[in-house]
Amino acid sequence: MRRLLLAMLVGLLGGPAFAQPVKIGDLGILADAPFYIAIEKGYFKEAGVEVSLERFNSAAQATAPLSTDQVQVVGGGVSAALYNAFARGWPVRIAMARTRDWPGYSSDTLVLRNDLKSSVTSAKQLKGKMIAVNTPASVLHFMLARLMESEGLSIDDVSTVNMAWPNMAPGMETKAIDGGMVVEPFATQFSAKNISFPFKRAADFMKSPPLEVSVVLYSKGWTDKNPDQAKAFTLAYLKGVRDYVDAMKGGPKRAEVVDICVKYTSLKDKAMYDKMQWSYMDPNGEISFDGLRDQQDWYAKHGYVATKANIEAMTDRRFLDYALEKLGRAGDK
Amino acid sequence: MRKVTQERALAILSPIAVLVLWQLASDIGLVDQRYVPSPVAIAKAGWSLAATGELEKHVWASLRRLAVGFVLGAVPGILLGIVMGLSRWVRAALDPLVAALYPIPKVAILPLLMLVFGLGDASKVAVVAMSVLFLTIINTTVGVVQLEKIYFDVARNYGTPWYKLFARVILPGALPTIFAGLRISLGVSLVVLVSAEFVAANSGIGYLIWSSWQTLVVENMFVGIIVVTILGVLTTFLLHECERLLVPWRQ
Repeated sequence: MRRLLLAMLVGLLGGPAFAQPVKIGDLGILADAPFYIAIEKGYFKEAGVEVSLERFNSAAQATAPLSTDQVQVVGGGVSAALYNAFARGWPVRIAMARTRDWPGYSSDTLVLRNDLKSSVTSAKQLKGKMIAVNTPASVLHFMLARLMESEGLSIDDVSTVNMAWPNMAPGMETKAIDGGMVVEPFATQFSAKNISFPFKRAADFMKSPPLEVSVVLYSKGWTDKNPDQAKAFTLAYLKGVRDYVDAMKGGPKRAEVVDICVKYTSLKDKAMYDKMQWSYMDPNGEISFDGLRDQQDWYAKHGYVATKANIEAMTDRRFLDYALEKLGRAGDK
Repeated sequence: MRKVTQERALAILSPIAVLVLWQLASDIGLVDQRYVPSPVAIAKAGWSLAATGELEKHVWASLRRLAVGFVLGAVPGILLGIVMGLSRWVRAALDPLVAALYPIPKVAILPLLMLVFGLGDASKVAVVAMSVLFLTIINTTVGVVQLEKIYFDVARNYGTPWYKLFARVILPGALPTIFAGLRISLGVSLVVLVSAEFVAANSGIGYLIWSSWQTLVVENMFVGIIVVTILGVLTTFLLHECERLLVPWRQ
């Protein structure tokens, strides 16, 4: 009874409707924009959800604390790690889609050294080349493999080396590597510095299914304990997604969204937002299960995933359905 | 000799006891196997890694880098340390340099080393050599400096030539401290090598650990960690045996 009174009092005072704040694991990248938009524009506050941000270096590093409910929400890159987390029985669930590559909105790019522009014109000519990848068995590694396979070759026909994105620029300048698998803004920044050119973007050759890059992951511990808070969170987050989609397509909210991104992400150069390709987000958060299965099959075939997970069973769309019911479906694709 | 055997038995038994306790804790659910696999699960993963030849590839890659880097760091380190220990002037000139360069985290300059030495083994060997070099210089210098002055006086009074002074007084006197330095350097170089392989490599135990964690194949990560501990124990044992042979009066 006392707790109820307290809750009513808190409600009257306009405080958060849920006692526990939601910890979001973020990377400070453009794909995290809906979190930042929902914070800045007060969507979370409207929904009565208090949030805090916890910065990680990579999505793979955030998965372990997500599984132990130390953080409740993470934008998770699709990788062997994600499927292995499912196979290990880690209590994490896919809540909705996040980023993918779509024509015109394709951030994932194979860049090649400028001096190779005339000699390498098709994937066949990549044979024997040294290509840097930031993380093995991740989305960009898979994309490189698919590119090679699109011309009857395989990933074994190129040499790969692991390297962080910023190190790929000196790597190409010293000709230690021939190219690199990068995301934006690196693809555009390297071109601007006359180091490399975008040879192929994921959307150029991966259409059906598209390259599913990341998904929104929820801690199962959290959604079991606080399903209503998870629903409220999702509603606010989806509003952030809609604003992002508007900005991505050059709509009226673009300037505002760019300002928010400059504030929160590591990309501070405002002009770059107009030069580079943004990652595509589905305004309805719909997942391409074919895309996810396609990737899992490849990781399993190449020994990165020992036991395949049932991806539908790892998806909990109750929260997305609630948000879509409240907001309505966005008509366009 | 019996004492030595007993010591060795104890040295083997204590890690086994830890493993048994760990397995028991996993079996009764005290340790969550989804995060920390049991020793048996790790052994199985290790076995399959060994069967495919992958483990061997990583171990040899690391051992090669460690051995070459260690020798390239230790030999000049001992020579420079002796010179610094003997000559006050050289010591005065080089001490500040050593003091300034020693604390630099060697992994932090790895990207720079990669520019100079390329992406291959050379950059990893260089990072190991650098971490060994300074520790060896410091220990050798101390070992030589702390030699009793009276030994030199006696040798000089008997008209001992310099090479005999070196072989009979300086080297035997400083060897225990030099070996202490080498033991510390060995541990540090293993740590540095594994960290370097985290950052930029396609092979090696560090790469195995890092890539297994990146893909959440936790069993393989533990295989890597255990292999590092085994390598640490084996290389230290090897150094210890060298010390037994070269400095028998210390036993």
